[in-house]
Amino acid sequence: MRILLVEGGAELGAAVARHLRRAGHAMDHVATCDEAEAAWLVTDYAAILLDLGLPDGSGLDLLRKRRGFGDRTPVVIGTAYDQISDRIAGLDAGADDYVVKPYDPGELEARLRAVARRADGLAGSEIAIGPLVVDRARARVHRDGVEIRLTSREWAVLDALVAARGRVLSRAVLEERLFAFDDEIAGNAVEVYVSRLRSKIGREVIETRRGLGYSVS
Amino acid sequence: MSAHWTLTGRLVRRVLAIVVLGWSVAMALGLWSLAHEIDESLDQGLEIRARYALDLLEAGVPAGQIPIGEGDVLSIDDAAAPWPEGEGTLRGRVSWHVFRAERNGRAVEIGQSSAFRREEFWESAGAFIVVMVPLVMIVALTVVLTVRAALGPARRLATTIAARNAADFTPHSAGGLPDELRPIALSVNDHLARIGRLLTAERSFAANAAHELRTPLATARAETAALAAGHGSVERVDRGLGQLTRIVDRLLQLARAEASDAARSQPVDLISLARHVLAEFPAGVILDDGDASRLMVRSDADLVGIALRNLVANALEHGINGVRVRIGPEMLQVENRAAPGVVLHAARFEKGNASNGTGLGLTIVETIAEQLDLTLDRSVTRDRVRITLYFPADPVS
Repeated sequence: MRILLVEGGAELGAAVARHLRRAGHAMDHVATCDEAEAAWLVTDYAAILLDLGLPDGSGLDLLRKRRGFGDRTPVVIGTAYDQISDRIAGLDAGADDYVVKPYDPGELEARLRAVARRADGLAGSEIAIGPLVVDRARARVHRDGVEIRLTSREWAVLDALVAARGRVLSRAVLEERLFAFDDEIAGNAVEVYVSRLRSKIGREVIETRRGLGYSVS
Repeated sequence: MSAHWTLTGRLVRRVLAIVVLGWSVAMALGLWSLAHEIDESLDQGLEIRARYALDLLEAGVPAGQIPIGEGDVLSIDDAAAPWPEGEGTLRGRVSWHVFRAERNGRAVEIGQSSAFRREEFWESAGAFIVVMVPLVMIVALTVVLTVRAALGPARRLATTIAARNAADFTPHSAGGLPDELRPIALSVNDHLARIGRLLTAERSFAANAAHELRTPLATARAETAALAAGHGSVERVDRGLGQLTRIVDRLLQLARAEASDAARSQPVDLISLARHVLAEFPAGVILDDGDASRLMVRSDADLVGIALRNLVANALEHGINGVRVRIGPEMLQVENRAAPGVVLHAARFEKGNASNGTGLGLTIVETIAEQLDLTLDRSVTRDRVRITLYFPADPVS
């Protein structure tokens, strides 16, 4: 796939570009915001690796600008800024992933492939169930493109059902998942969490099989 | 450049201006009242003397022997006494205050000129002013001395601060200072303490960096030298660089924690923050959000993130599976099962020979807890180690 590498550090940029070329990708390597924008505008990239501290400005501003124009090209931020607030700012600006230097070139390539795959359809860890997209790796659920926020127990129940997609999971199996959080759980805990899940993700997603348990299909 | 001025001078000038203005108004009112009272009193005197003169005339006393007061002019049996015109004064022509008494066809008029009355008034006013002026001088002197005395603590505080050595970070004593000045002394103390902490942090960082970095650097150099000589191992160099990376990360975190006097106080959603932090770790760490969708505290998200990152890394390093992050109201807890052989000294993990840890994790967490005013609780029960951070109860809007 064709990747735009925006990296201000000449040596790091050359090393990463070399690694990604050897992995079989077509690489464009630029070092400034202006060059990045010029390349971004004229080429349809499968993914962009974007540094934030560039000599002529912030990669974050460039990303916000492009997202403001509706550009959905997958972007992975690769930066030395490692604070949680930096990560949140990067993801809020529209980045699809965020890796902190020094990154492992192998892991970086895997992340670039993952965001590119997601842009083409579903990422490897994502499962579509009707209007619902469940990302098991990131523990996230989207319905019609809008993220639904689940608590950890609700996620545990949904994740178990999605993992066993098509199969019926008994109440005892689902209770096992909830035991990870508490040594003791209420007798109707599974019913409570299934009910809460239905109110959040839609009633039609989880089916009740009387006397057997629950399933998603 | 602003003009040089003193608080004492400004206060004295303003208080004195107010006192003089007040005194002038009081004096004007007093003189006006005095003039009014003098007129009334002299008018009564005229009436009494006119009636007395009439009594004497009726008793046969010759007009020339009738006693009259100072400034009085007596006129007898003139139907319309032509009161003499005097010389003009500053305030106009002389006028007369006349009282006429009549009885049994006889009439007596006694008059006083306004010039006489003005003279009487200024005699009384002069005595009044002679008494008031020294009093005002005494008040002014008292004001100056009182203002100087009242501003004495401020003067002494300023002198103490100015005379202070630049390397002296001991706090000022705020005892005995008035309420208006105490915040200044306390604020100066806060700044001194902050500068002191930053200097200590700088020294501590330099010491930690030197201590922690030299060994892995030496190892990496030895490995690259071996590699150049043809008998080294790329894996060992890579492992050494990995260890060096972890140490640099921890040292940077420690530096941030120690130099975090500018820690922000912002609403932080602990659940969202924990999800971001746990995304950096391999799957398997259980996040228990207490079944809440948001748990807000007021703190510094970056520092709390660093603390949680270190606690989880510590739990993964020293524990066996079952690392669990629990979040509750104003509480963040990391729990793990301690690996067999893990030794705790004073609730701190002992670093084993095979450990990949930097040995800085809990130091960083302790420093952050101190900076953010968090309570750090370490409990070890059987095979479980729990490290909990309690946030101060602070309502978040």
